[in-house]
This record gives sequence, C-alpha cells and structure tokens, in this order.
Amino acid sequence: MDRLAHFFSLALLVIFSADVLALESIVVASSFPKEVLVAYKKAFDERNPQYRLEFVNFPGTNIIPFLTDRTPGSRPDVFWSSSPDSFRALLRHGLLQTIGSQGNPSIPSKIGSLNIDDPDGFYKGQALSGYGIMWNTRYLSARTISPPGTWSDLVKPELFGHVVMSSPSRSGTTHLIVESILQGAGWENGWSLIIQIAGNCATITDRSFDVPNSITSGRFGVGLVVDFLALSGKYSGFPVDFTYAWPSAITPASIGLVTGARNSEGGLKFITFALSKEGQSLLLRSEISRLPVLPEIYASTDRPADYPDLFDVIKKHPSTYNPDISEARHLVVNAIFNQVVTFRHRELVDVTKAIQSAERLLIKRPHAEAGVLIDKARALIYRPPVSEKDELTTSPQLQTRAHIAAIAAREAEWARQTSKNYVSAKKLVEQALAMMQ
Amino acid sequence: MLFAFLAIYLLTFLVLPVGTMILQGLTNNEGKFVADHIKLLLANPVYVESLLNSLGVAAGAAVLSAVAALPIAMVLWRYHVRPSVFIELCGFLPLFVPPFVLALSLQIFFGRGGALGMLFQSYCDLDPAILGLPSVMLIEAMHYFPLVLMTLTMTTSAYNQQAKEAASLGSGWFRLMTRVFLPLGMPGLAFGMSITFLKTLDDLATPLSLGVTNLLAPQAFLRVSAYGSQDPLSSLIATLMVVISGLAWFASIRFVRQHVAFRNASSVSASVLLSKQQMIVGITFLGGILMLYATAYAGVALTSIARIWSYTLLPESYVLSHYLTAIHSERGSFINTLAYCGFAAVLDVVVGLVMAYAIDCAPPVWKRWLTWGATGLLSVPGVALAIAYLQFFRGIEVPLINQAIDASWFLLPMAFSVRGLPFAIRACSITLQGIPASYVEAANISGRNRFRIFIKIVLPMMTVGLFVAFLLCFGLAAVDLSSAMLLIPSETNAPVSYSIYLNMQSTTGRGAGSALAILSIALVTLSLFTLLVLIRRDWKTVSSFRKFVFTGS
Amino acid sequence: MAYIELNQVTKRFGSVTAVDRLDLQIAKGECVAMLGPSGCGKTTTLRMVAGFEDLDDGEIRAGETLLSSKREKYYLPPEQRNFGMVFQAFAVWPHLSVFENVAFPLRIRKLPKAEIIARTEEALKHTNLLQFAAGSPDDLSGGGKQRVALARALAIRPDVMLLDEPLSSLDPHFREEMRFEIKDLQRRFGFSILYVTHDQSEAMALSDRILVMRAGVVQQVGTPLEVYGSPANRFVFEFIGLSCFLKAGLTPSGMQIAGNDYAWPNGIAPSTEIIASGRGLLAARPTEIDFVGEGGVRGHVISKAYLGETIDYRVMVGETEVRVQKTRRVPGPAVGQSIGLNFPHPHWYPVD
Repeated sequence: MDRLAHFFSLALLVIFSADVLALESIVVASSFPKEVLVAYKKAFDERNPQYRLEFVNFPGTNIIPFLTDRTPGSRPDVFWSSSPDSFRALLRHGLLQTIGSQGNPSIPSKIGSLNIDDPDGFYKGQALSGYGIMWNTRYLSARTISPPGTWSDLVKPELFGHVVMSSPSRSGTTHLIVESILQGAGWENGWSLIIQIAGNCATITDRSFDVPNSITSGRFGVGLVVDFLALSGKYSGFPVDFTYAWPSAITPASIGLVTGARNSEGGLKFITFALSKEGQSLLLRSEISRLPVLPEIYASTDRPADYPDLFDVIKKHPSTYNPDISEARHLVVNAIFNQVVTFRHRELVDVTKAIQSAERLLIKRPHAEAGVLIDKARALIYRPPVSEKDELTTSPQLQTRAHIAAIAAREAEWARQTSKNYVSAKKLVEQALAMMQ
Repeated sequence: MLFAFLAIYLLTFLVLPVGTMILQGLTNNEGKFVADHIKLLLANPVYVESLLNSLGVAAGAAVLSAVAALPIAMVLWRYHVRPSVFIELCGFLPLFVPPFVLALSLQIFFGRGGALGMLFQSYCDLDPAILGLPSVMLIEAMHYFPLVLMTLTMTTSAYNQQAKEAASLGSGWFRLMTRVFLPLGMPGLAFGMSITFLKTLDDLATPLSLGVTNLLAPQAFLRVSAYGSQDPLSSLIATLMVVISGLAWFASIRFVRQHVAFRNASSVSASVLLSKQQMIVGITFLGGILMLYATAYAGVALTSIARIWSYTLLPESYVLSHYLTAIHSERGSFINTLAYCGFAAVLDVVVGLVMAYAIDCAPPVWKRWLTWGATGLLSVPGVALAIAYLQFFRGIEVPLINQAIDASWFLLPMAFSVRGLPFAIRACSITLQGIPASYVEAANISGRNRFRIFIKIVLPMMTVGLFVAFLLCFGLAAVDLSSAMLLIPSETNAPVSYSIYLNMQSTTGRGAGSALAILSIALVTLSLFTLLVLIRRDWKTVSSFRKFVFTGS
Repeated sequence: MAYIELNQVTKRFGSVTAVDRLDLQIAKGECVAMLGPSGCGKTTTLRMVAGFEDLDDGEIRAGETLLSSKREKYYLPPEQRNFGMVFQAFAVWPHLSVFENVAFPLRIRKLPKAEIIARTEEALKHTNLLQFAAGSPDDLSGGGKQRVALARALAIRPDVMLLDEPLSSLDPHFREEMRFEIKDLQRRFGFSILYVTHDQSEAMALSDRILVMRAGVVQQVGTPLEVYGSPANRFVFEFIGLSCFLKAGLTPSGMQIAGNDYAWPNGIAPSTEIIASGRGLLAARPTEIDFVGEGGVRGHVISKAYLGETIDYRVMVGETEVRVQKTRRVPGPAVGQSIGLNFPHPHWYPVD
C-alpha cells in the first residue's frame, strides 16, 4: 500500500514538474530527423539553462493545418524546415513574425542568384539543402548496376524494384524533389518522369528518413533524398554514396518565428543560436552532415575531404526552382501524387513491369503495331490527371472546409480515372505481348 | 458527487467528442444534414477499397491467428499439457507490445539488406513491404496469435478431465474437436479473435511502416495530417471505423458470453507432475512457438547491437552503445510514458471503480445496459478517438495555465484512459465482487464514517486487484500508438512507442530505436513476472484474473 | 418486559415474500434463536433488525426508540442502533492486526485513545485473545477468527448481539466450546442475543426461546422444551428432531393404517377436528415408539443398525418405513420378524 502511494505521488510529481518546466520551454516545429534536433537541443540547453527546448516533429508540408488547428498562444514558437514552400504558405496565411535584420550578419543574404534570407526579413536561411540520388554501393555492385547520375536514370528497367522514395504529402523534401522536377522538366514531362520513377520503386515510404534508412541497411538500392540524409549515412561509415541530380533545386533550409508563439523571446533566442557560428558548425557533424550558410565554417572546421562545398554546389546547379509556384499548387501536387502513385502503387508497379518486359521483347522481336500499343499504354499511365492550367493548380486558396471538399471531389475523379487507366494500360500491353508471341 | 464526476468525464472525453465527430462527417457548413460527404467518400474508389481492405485484413488476421492457435491448443488440451500461469500471462504480451515492432523486425530480417532475406534474395523477395496488404494481415495474425492461443487454453484447461473421458471413449480427433473442444473454447476463441480484429483495424503504425496506405486507419490519418481536423472525410472514415468495431464487438459478445462455466478453472490441480510424453508435447509446441518469436524479433535484437549492418548476412561490427543512447537520450520518453500512462491508469482505476460500483448497485435492467456500454467502449478505435479530440478540443483554452488544451500533453492521457476504461471497469468489478458484503457491513455497523471505512477497510482489501487493473491500463496505454501519433503536441512529449517508431526509421536512429524496443519488451515481461509474484500470494486473485478476460462471468 | 419488538415485519424481494408479518419480542438479556432451513427468511429478519435492510411493512423498536418503520419511513442507521453483529464468514479484516480489528469500531466512533485501548484489551481478555493481539487474524484458526469477530462486536458494548450462524463455519468440536463462551459472555455483559441458525441442537443449547420459520412465516415461538415437546405442526416436528410419520384413515371409533383397522386405545386418539376430516398423520420420535409382540400397529423389521448405545430398527408398515430407536440393553426383534408398534406419546397432524 505504501509503495503504491509512493508510486502515485511520484507519478503526480513528474506530471506537475513537467508542467512547471513547460512555462520556460521553447517549442520548435521541425521536420528534421531526431539526431539533428537532439544535437541542437543539447547544445542550446547547455548554453541557456533558463530554457528548455522542445520539438514537434512532423512533415513540413503539414505545417499549415497544424498551426491553423491551434489558437495563437498555443502554437509552437519556431518553424524550422528545408521546405521553402512551407515558408511561403506560412507567409500567405500570415503565420510568421518578422525577424528583421536579427541573426548573424556574417551570413550573406544572397549567394549567386539564390536568396538565402527572405527579402522582407520573415525567415532566415540556416543551411543549404540540395537534392539528389543516394545508393548503396554493395547493393548495386552485387547486381552489377552502375550508379545513376540523374533523375532520368532512375526509370531504367534494370532499376525496377530497387528504387525507393517517400510521398510528397508526407515529406517536405520529397515534395521539393517532385516540384523541382515539375518546374525543371515541365508539368507533363515532369509528371511522366516522376510516375515512371515511382513505377520502379519497391515501396513508397511513410516518412522521408526511411528512404536513406532502407538504403543504408541495403534493403533497397537507390533512393531520392535530400543531401544531408545521404551524407550523414556515408560519413557514419555505411557503404552508400550520393550525387546531386538535375533538374534540381538548391534551397535554403530556413528558420522563422511563428505568429501567435507562446514564447517569442525564447524562439528568437533559438533562431540566433542556430545562425551563430556554434550553431552552424553543428551542421558538419557526421550524423547531421548539412551544408552551413556561414562561409567561414568551410574554411575553419575540418571536414571530410569530399564533403560538398556550398559555393561549388551552387555554381554547378543553377536553381530553376520557384517556391511561389510550388506553394500555390502544393496541396494539389500532393493529392495527385497520392491518388496516382501512393494509393495505386501496386497497380503502377504491375503495369510498369509489364511495359518493361514488353519493351524488352520488342527489341528482340520488333513489331510496329505492338510498339504503338505500348506507347499508348505509357501515355495512359505516365501522365498527370489534370493540366497545369487547371484552376485548382493556378489559384491558391486558403485551407477551408469547402476547399478541402472541393479537392476531395477532384481526388475522387482522379482516382476513378487512374484505376481505369491502369486496367486499360494493362490490357494494351497484353495485346502487344500477344502480337509479338 | 462521484457519479456527477463520472458523467462529466464520460461526456467530455467520450460522448461529446465522438458525437461531434460523427456530426462533422454528416453535416455541411450550415450544420444541416447532407449526404454530400458520404457521396464524396463513395465516389473515390480508394476509400471503398480501403474499407474492404480493412475488413479483409482485420478479419483475415483474426481467422489466421485462430487457425494457427486451434490445432496447437487442441494438442495441448488433448495431452493435458497446462501451461504455467506465467506462460499464460506471456500470452498477453501482444497486448503490451506494439505490432509495428514485429513488422520492422521482419523487414530487417527478411528484407534484402541482411540475414535471411539477403540469403534467399536470388530465389524470392521476402521483404514484407513488397507483399503489401497480405503481410499486414500475416504480421498482425502472428502478433496476436499468442493471445488467441492462451485465451483458448485458458478456457479449455478446466475441462482436461472431460478430455480424458472423451478420449477414453475413443472419439476421433475431429469429433473431439467439433463436439467437445470447440464448444468449450468458444469464449476464449471469440475473445482473442475479436481483440485481434479490433486492434488490427485500429493499427496505424504497422501498415505505414510497411508502406501500406489503402486501409481505413492510414487513410484517416493521412487526410487529417494533410488537411487538418476540419476535413469532413476523415471524420466519416473515423465514424465508419467506430461502426465496424462496434458491430464486430457486439457480434463476438454472443460467443464470449455463451459458456462461462469455467468457474472452477483454478480447481484443477496445478502441481500434477507431467508425464514424459506430456513434457515432450509441451516443450515441442511451446518451445517451438518461443523459437519462432525469437527468430522474428532477431531483426530488432541484432540491429540493437549492430554498428554497421548493410547488405551483409550479419552485422559487420557490434556495439552496445545503442542501449546507452536509448537510455540516455530517450529518458524523456520513458518519463513521458510513465507520466501519461500512469496518469491514465490512475484515472482508469478511479473511474473504473466508480463505474463498477455504479453497475453493482444499479437495478438489473440498467446493469445489463451499463455493462454493455462499458465493454462497448472497446469499440472506439484510437484513430477515431484522436480525430474526435482534435476536432472537439480545437483551440479550447485551459484557464490556469493559459494554454490551449490541444497544445498540451493533456489529451493524450485522457484518450488513453478512455481506451483503457473497459478493461479497468472489468478488473474493478471483479475486485469489488471479491470483497464479501459482510466485511463492509461489519464496519458499517460500527460507525458512520463512510470515507474512513472506504480508506481503512475497503481499499486495502482491494490493493492487489486494483494494482492489476492499474498495470493493465498502463500497459495498454503504453502501446496505444494510434492515438499517440495524432495527439502528441511535441516530440519531447512523445511516449516510448512513438520514439521507437520514429527512431527505427532513420539511419542513425535505428540502433537506438531497436535497443529501446528490446528494453521495452524486457520491461513488460518483467512487470508481468512481478505481477505474477504479487498475485501468487493470493490464489483467489489468479482465478479472478482468469475470469477477468471474459465478460459476463 | 419486551426490549426489542418486531411488529408485523414484512420483507419482499420482487414477487417473493421473504418475511411475512413477523411478530417477536425479545426481553433484556434474553437469547432468542431463529431456526429454519436456509432461505426461510431468518437472516433477512436479522439484517432488518441490524438496519441493513429496509422494511416493506411493519416496524421494529428497541424499548421506547423506533428503529425501523415502513409507515413513518424512518430507519435508524445501523451504527446508531448500538448492536453488535457477528457474521457467518467471520468478516475479520485480514489487513489489520487482531488488536486493530477490535479497535476499529471504537476508532471510527472517535473515542479517546486511552478508552479505545482499555476497551479493546477488555474485549480481547474476555475472548482469550490477549496474547494474539499484535498478530494477524490470518494466523488464527476459524475459532480464533470468530473470537476476534466476537471481541469486535463486544468492544462497542452492544445492547443486543446479532449472531448470524456464527458457528457453522467452525469444526464441530470448536462449536461446543464457542457455545459456552457466548453464553458466558452474555451472562457477564447482559446483552440480549438474536441468534440465527439452521442447527436445532445449537438453538436448543443456547437460547431461552426458539422461533421456527419456514418460507418467511413463523411456525412456532416457544421455549426449547415447548418447541421440542409440542411442535405446533408437522414442519416443526420434522425440523426439530428425528421423526416418523404414518398416514391413517380416521373414524370416531378407530384408525386404519396400511389396510388394517385399529380401535382407539387409551390416550392415542387425535382431536375431534382431525377425526372429523377423516384422515390424519400420526407422528412420533423414533425413541418414543415401543415394540409389542401382540397388538399394536403391525409391521415387519427390514433392517437393524447398531449406533453404539442404541439400535436403529427400520420397520415397514405397509408401504411406509418407520424408524425405531431402542437401547441395546433390551433384546429387540430380529430382521424379518413381524412386530407390533405402540405409540405412547403420539402427535396428530392434519394431512396436507
């Protein structure tokens, strides 16, 4: 009985102490993996014992509903993410406070043509992210597959079933990859490329960090990732490598102060810390492996010989990425990907496999009519269900119940069309195969 | 007073949120009933498919675990092999370990990257994620199989004597099974199967970690995280889940209640020495099952001590530091788990006690309805409850701390407590019934102070029973990832199960995540063992615990 | 002088009348036993006296004080009646020491500390428990536990002690011992006792008066001697000791049993009402039946069993078996022998 009473009082104590401490807490909403957050929390808490840093981890793409679901005063203080369109969306919904010129003056506000900070001072660049392809060297050499160099290599039939990616609705970085392909290659061609890559994927993972995870462990061979997730694996000793791919975006991972923050002062304190020399050098740790925006870090700190250099990367990959376009159609792109790829992945993989084997046969036994049928099948499934000019993608709307219902209605339409397309494509390929037999 | 507290609790944390959620799905912006959203839901083949998939996977998992458990339970019964109480308790482990751990472990072990999957990959692809839906079903069935097996042996073991007699009459195996064994085991089987069904339907982390999205729970979850809690379709999907679970549970109640004649379960002497043949049968089957699970969890176990493991049969190098990392950096999530689940479990025991008392005092007609209602709570899935909370408590401020209720950790333990309540009520009512009226009357005749009598006489006599109830609710809350994934306001507020889920999916965190999983499983086993030591002191409680599993005894 | 008074006390559970218009008076210091088979309503009556059950009709008083009344809707709570109660299952709290068990009622009444200790020790002394005071009641035998329950009831110095089958969970040899102890305590403290039992010998040994109940209805109230010597009806006769019954056809001149006619011998004839009904039941205790060679009611011996001091004969009279018990010192009939039965102290009851 006594022991039980002690236990209860202890439990109560823990609950109350947590609450007392919460008054001094700074809450940072971020999509970064745990290691990044833990490293920053440790360093920050040591410097600032009066605060306690807390994190909310979820995909950056979901920040808008997360914030609008909460009243001012109960929102996180800081938003920290690699997804530029999330910051655009926050601006549009009036969910960011201006920081002005506060931060670290040694960080350039512009590198080449790339804006590091928001010109109006609503958010600051904290690190740079580039996007590309990661692969497991052992996995590929066991199958004598040569490492891919750019996105279009990922649609090759020999990579069928060896690729892995996440869904843009669940991962801000995947959304960026999808968008940069769409903007770089154009809406129609972009979607065609993306759907073909997805057709080569073994699975669509729930969270972005499961992509590098399954590649480092050797479950799958190749994946679409943000640079630091790949580099942290590489510099931790795993047999993986990474290349930037075109069309791509080099975007700043930004940090900003949320409107209606509970603790603005503390939030600002953390932002200043993240931009300071100390905060920047944390980025070079092997388990983080990100590109700092403070130039002096590259000069001073010792880092692996082949560690990418910020200025190199920017020079080599001039960015064509426009976050405003991306932000405007953000929900729609996610919804299209889900309806065409995520929820229909089995069918997509199935048809892709059929098309690839039919095309292999076509090379051995050329057959004009069969070739036309296969191309028809490709055209049916490797295309977006809606044109770029559709009003849904061009006129950005606030997320309201009516807007959500409107998207849901379109989703249903796409889903029906997609199901039909997969069935007819499969039939076309079968006809083609029959002709070639 | 107490009953008012009870009514407020149930209204605020169950009836109103769920009611609001159902209305959200059925009304338009003006609050009029419209079928628009239902039409929208039916128009999208993905949702229709998800509904069918969910039904299929949940029913399939239940049937599969039963099909696997039946012959083994039958053999054990036929040879009068009675597992020890500890083994029987271990059968309840699945209730306290989240199934996604098994999914991730199998992925590591059968994926192409290492171990068996790597070995066999030139012949076949064993990665569970490639199989998709069927592997969700298989993994859930495998996860809940021990539960079904043990509830089955527990209901039938009291009748070992009858087995002997029936066997000596020379009945064949089949006849024995259909005529004697199945009818006897029906309550246990139905209970185990319905738990498997409900838990599978509600499971979020397992399908997501396998890349399966076309099920109701992930669809509701994905929609809420993409569009926010105002999304009418996620309300509808959650409502659908409540309806399905409710129907499933009430359908199974008929069987669970049918024969509840195992009162003398504990009268079977436990100390009878097993014959050599019985030992062999027991060890073969129970040992075999143990081996199977040891293999299944080998993926996690190996990862927890691997430094670099990439595309090799076994890890290249080993370290123990993941355990240190897990203990060090996840101390917070352990404390969170302790706090939320402890809070929820204490609340459960208090509310459960009041409920049990109310049910005890109620007139017979009410009693039946109250009992039904209480166990019917089982049928509110975690995902649905979480969505209901997100909608209902949106932006409501807590007066003293000036914080919105949905931004605090508060909702999570409340959801846990609602989900644990049916179990708490059951445990408390058994505990209450375990105290003969005369013990209380003997106190009542001597003085008026009800409170003092409760504190000094009634409560101490219920200690063990209430502690069992507490542990049970605590354990159930600790694995309730479905509500946690939607309700936690911040990473630092995450319970252990969520930390495991997040960690195990990242390159640098998966070692620590696995270590955390292994530690949690060890901790649960340890507390089950403690529980056993505790209730061994009072054999009566053991039989109550047995009884506890089944409603209506 | 009646101290406890039950007037027309009635209790119903649903459609079942558990206690039907029961009247009873208990004098100060008197011991009354309620005797009857299980389910006859005796425990319900006791619980109504204790205050645990409401009444559906009637009232209960203690001297001038009203305890329970249906009409006035008045129920004095159990703890204010100052009654002690001992339960069949001991109801000794296992988590408290013997001392604390006995002291609890005093503590809850918020008596001064010194008085609690004094009264508890007194109660323990009189129940021979003083040396076990610090121990757990779980270490005591059943008799020991029941003594703790008794001491607990005693500590509040009750006016009335309510005993609900207090001896039935004890081993037989403890029962007798406890009977004496209860009697002894009553003499010393002068409380009244209402005692519920289904064991007639216990009731006889302990009580000043016995109340026999059946299905909620009082069958007879009287001293043990009255109840045993002149049972009011067949039920009481049967319940209170060994009994045999013979059905007889009756005429003013004699009776017919198993086809044989017998003229009325002296003193055996029933009341005229029973004779007028034409049929009757002849009841006798097996020890109160004599064997006669000639005459008597004819039958033949079918078995003979030695019960130590007595021999138990079974005699068939027509279709009916009659038990006869005779001392072994007088030679009796052999098995198979035809014999006559004489009834020196017959009881007649109407045939139902």
